[in-house]
Amino acid sequence: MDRDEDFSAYAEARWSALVRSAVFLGCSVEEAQDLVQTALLKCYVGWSRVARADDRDAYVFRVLVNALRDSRRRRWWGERATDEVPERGVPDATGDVDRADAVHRALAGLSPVNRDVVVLRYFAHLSEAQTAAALGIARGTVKSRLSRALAQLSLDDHLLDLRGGASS
Amino acid sequence: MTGPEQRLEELWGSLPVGEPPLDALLDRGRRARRRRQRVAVLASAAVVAVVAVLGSGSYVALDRLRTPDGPAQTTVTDLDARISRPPLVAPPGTRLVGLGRAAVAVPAEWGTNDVACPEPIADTVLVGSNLGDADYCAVAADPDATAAASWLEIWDTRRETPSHLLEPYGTVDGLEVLAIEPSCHGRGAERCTATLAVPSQHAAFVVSVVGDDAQARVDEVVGSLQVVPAGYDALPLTLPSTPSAAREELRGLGFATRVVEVDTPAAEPGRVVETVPPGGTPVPLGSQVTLRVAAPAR
Repeated sequence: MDRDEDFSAYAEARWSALVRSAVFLGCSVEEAQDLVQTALLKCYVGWSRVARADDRDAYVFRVLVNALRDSRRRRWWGERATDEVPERGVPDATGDVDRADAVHRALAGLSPVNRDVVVLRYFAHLSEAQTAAALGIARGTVKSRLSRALAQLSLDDHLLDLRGGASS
Repeated sequence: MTGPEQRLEELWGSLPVGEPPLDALLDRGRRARRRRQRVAVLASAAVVAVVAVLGSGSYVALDRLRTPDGPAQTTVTDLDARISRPPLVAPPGTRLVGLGRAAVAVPAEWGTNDVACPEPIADTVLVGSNLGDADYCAVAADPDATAAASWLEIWDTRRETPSHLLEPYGTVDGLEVLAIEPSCHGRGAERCTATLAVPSQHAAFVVSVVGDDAQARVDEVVGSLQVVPAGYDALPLTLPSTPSAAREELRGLGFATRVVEVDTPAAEPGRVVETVPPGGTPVPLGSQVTLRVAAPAR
């Protein structure tokens, strides 16, 4: 399979999980789509390395997390390494904003470091070792942050309000 | 299940994601590759020169992890001065830790398994024995301490793979080395993390350093990677918790043992608390290892 086919198949299969992860990590839906495009573009350019990796997800999620950190560091979402405006996956819609808001409210009780672990480990289904590698943290830290985060979430009132707001 | 996980799972599923803009991605990707290939051609002459210099030494390619401002010749000289030859020598102010005969040097003041909850809470080497399914605290023992801690985690790749992202990197004393080059980010102070692996020794090292000179300090640890001379072996990263089983294992590896009791109210009486020297320390085969065992409650 050539580079383009292989990449396209991967991007198609993992697009949803990557965009949702970025929203869970604090982006709006629109920002998440931009961020995932930026990450996938980097992966395309270095695809031989992605293809060689035993686990592509671990590689790509690491790129995604790094891209998110870069963008937070620049503090302005509009600035990125390309002079082109990325394609939008979907037009902006108020419903999308509400759902992303609901996610952010739900996860607001978590510290950013605990949230990163929850998203990669629980929602993006990376293994403990992959999560440690993607975030550059120790293995024990993955376990403790996950356990702490789930305990925090179980006490969070916001989650009780979510059903109405989110399932519309 | 109606817990928070399920509600988040529902939210996860309900988030709109749109379609991946594949055509645009491929188009931009192809153009980015062409730009990169043009740059690569210009850079290749410099790379050839570096490889030629490093190819004659035993620290091939380790300078790739160094900042590019120093000339390659200087790098080789620095590394050469630090190559260990019998007897075992660590650079001043450092101690060696590793697995099998692969080792790196960390600052001598770094502890071993200084963890709570069980995150690193001081500059420390993490060798696994305390890092299993330990008890968690509902709140991190001291988030500031965790944020300020530098650490080196040693993995036994026969038990667990540290990362699938490792790439061929070079050789050290003829042994293949894989690596993930350092990446740095900062929330407050800068933290830089790099990963090294020596497959033949089943050893992997993840080093994470925080502070103003984090990049340089990570580079130092990476640059210290070495193969300790024949006749040395690193003490096991983990040992059985009962003294008799720990003894048996150490004896099987060619070490003598002795047992001392220590008062550690936190540990279950009769369990091995730690070894002296600590797990991961390369020592001459046949040397004596002290097992520190929790004394009975009084």
